[in-house]
Formats: sequence, structure tokens, C-alpha cells
Amino acid sequence: MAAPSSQQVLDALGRIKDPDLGRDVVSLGMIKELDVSPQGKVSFTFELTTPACPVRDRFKSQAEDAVGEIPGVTGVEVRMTANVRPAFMRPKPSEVLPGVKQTIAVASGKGGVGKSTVAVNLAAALRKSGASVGLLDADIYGPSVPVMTGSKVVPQQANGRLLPIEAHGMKLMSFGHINPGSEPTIYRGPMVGKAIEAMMVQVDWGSLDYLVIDLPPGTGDASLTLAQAVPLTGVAIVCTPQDVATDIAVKALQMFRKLNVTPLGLIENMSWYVCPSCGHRHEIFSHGGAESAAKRLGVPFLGAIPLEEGIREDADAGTPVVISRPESAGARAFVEIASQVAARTSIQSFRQLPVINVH
Amino acid sequence: MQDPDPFPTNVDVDRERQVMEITWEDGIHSTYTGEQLRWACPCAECRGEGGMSGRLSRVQTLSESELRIRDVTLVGQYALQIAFESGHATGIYTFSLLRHLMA
Repeated sequence: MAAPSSQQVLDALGRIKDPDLGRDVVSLGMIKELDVSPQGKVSFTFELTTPACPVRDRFKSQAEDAVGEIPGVTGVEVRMTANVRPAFMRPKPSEVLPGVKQTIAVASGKGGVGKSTVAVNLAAALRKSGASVGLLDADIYGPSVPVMTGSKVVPQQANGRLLPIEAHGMKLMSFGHINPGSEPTIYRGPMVGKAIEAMMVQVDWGSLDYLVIDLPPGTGDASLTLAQAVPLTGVAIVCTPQDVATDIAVKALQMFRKLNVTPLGLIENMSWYVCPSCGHRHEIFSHGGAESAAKRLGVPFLGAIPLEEGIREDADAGTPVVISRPESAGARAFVEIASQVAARTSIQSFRQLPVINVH
Repeated sequence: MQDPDPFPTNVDVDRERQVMEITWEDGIHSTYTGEQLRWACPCAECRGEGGMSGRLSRVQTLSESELRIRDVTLVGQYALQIAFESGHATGIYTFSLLRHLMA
């Protein structure tokens, strides 16, 4: 039997739809280097928009099945790769953070809901999937990243710019690195804005697939500065299940909507606690608050993270739980959430920033 | 409240004719004159704040240089900053405002 044509293969693959982007994988440009040998062996590269793709394995088997069914095909070789696309088809490279493809802000309404823990583990999970990742701690008053990543060192300088600190394969920068020790940062609002801008402009971030930004709680100066200075891909909001937290998370989310920053979704932290002595599952802060709030607001619910002693212990010891205990329920929840976040950000890479032409 | 307002895909500013044209991602075109934009300036000085009335409610006319657009830049991903030849550039025109300005 004759080998199929390349067009036949593309037609078959064109029936695979990306569930998040809502289009077929061929028109999205994910199929590359297609080769059909005269003997009917088909090989191609399947380029995902993120290494943390939640449907990676499903895509691979769907592609193998779709091509395998074409008459004349004797073998299928699918090479899975990923190339994170920049958020928005930019008319020109951005002046702030020129080498950064996607900027993901992690915010909350209230403090103390575990926003930094989520940001650190989200960054670590994206790194584990194979992406190059940076983590910017924009919490000027209460920087937590140096402790949580075991990187309490002072950054080096080169060519008048600060070099980010490397830990766990990620590039980090926090005001806690710049102003270490127990001296507090006593800044008024405008200075907070300046400090955050400096951490973006004066730090040599290099090229990154993802820059995760840990924001201070609330709807104040830091969040505003960030939304005005960088085209953020989107923002993930962290809250705990009880009403007092979800109500304020909603306010934070609405603020970002006013600034046209796309809400990537809600993350519920401290969802449940499994008692180590009785094995019973307790829902200390109630149940499902974030999920119902997400539904009400029409934004995705990105997942729930249990309250685990290990997450806290490892954060204090300086290693994110997704690295130190990858098998724990907490770590698995973070990895799942990271791939949801990555999928949501990929959608943004098909949006376009306006081209401004003044003449 | 639904997801973000539509994005502009193209902003064309013709300084000679003093016209700004926006093409939106849903295919709609809108045209604004410098004069129209200047009188719609949303900044605190023009609109007033904290019970104080703004400059635009106090003046009857604006000079030619106040009405002429000099430059337009993008703010974050939600607004345009429009600078006028008089130097006035404090107005941040959100996409949502621009969408509502079109008749």
C-alpha cells in the first residue's frame, strides 16, 4: 500500500482540538517537522505551548491514534516538545522585562492565606516541568521568598545591574535579599512603586519562560504599579475557603479586572487537613468557598491545596514542598495547579497588544 | 462583571488631521478628535476630586495647543495615556472609557 501524503496526516491531526485554546492543533501551529517516509513511517514534532501542559499525555496518544488509523501508515513517531510563547503578540519587545515571555502575578485579598507559599511552589512546579522560571517577591514589607527558598544571600552586581539569586534552578529576587536582616522597610506608597519597578528594570532577569510575581496582599500600591508598568499575562488569586477570605479575594479580583489584567483563576489554600493520628479529614476553614466564588464570578477554579505540616516545615527549611516531598498530597496539588495556570497563560499568548502608530 | 473589555488591536494617531482611530479586536472602528478627547480627560485635575470641581467644569474654552494631541502611549494593558501639545498628559484613558466615548 502506498504511503499517505503529508496532507492526509495533517487532516487527521487537525481533528485534535486543544481544549483550552478551542482550536485544532494544526492551525495553532503545534505540528512541526512532519516527515512521511516512502515506507509509510510518519514522524513529527508536537510543540506544546508549555512544558506543564495538563493534556500532554492525552495529546500524544490522540496523535498516535489519529495517524495510526490512516491507511498505509506503518509506524508513528511523535516527539513532544514545548516552546512557551510570549504573552501577547507584542509589536516590539517590551522595555521592561524584555526577555520574559509570561508574567504571572499571585495575589490575594487578605494576608495570611499562604500566597507566598503558593507562589514559591507554583514557580518550583513550573521549573520541574522543564520551563525556565523566575520568582519576584514584590512584597516589600513582608518578603518571604528568601526564607522559603533558603536563599538569604545578598545579590551580586554586574554592569550596574543586580543579578538574581539562583536557588532550586530558579532565578529569585526579593526585597529581603536587598535589605536583609531584621531591619524593617519603612516606605510610603510611592516608594513601594519605585522599589518594585527597580526590581523589574534593574535586575538582569535574562530570558525566562515564566516570571512568577508574589504580590503583597490587598489592592494597594504594589498591585497598581505592577499592572501599570508591565503587561501582566494574568493574575492568580489565592484564598482560604471561609467567607471572610473569599469575599475579599473577590474584591482583589475585581480590581485586576478593572485594570484589564486577566484573572487566571482562584486557588483555594488550606482546604482540608488530614489528622495524622486519626486519619480523619477535617475542613477547618469550611469547604468549597473558592470554588463557588469562582463559579459566581465566571473565572476558572484552579485547584485546592491541603493544610499540611510538611508544606510549612519545608517552607521554613527553605525547600519548596514540590521539590522536597514530590509524592505528598500538597506537592501533587501544586503541580496540578501549575499546569492549570500554564494552560490559562497559553491562551493569552494568542491575544494581541495594540499597535500604536503616531504620525 | 464580565471578563476584560475588548482590546484595541490598532491605534492610529494622525497629528496633522488631529484624529485618533481605534480598531477593536471585535472588528469595530472608532474615531476620536483631539478636542473630544481633551474634553473627556479623566484626570483628577480636569474632573475634580474630593468634592472640588474640576478644571473642565470651570472653563468654557480651551486653547488650540490644549486640544492638539502630541503623543499616545500604552499603559499596562488597560489604558492609553494621551499627551497634548500644551504638555497636559495626566489623563489615563481606559479602554472601557474609550469604548464608551464612541457615539
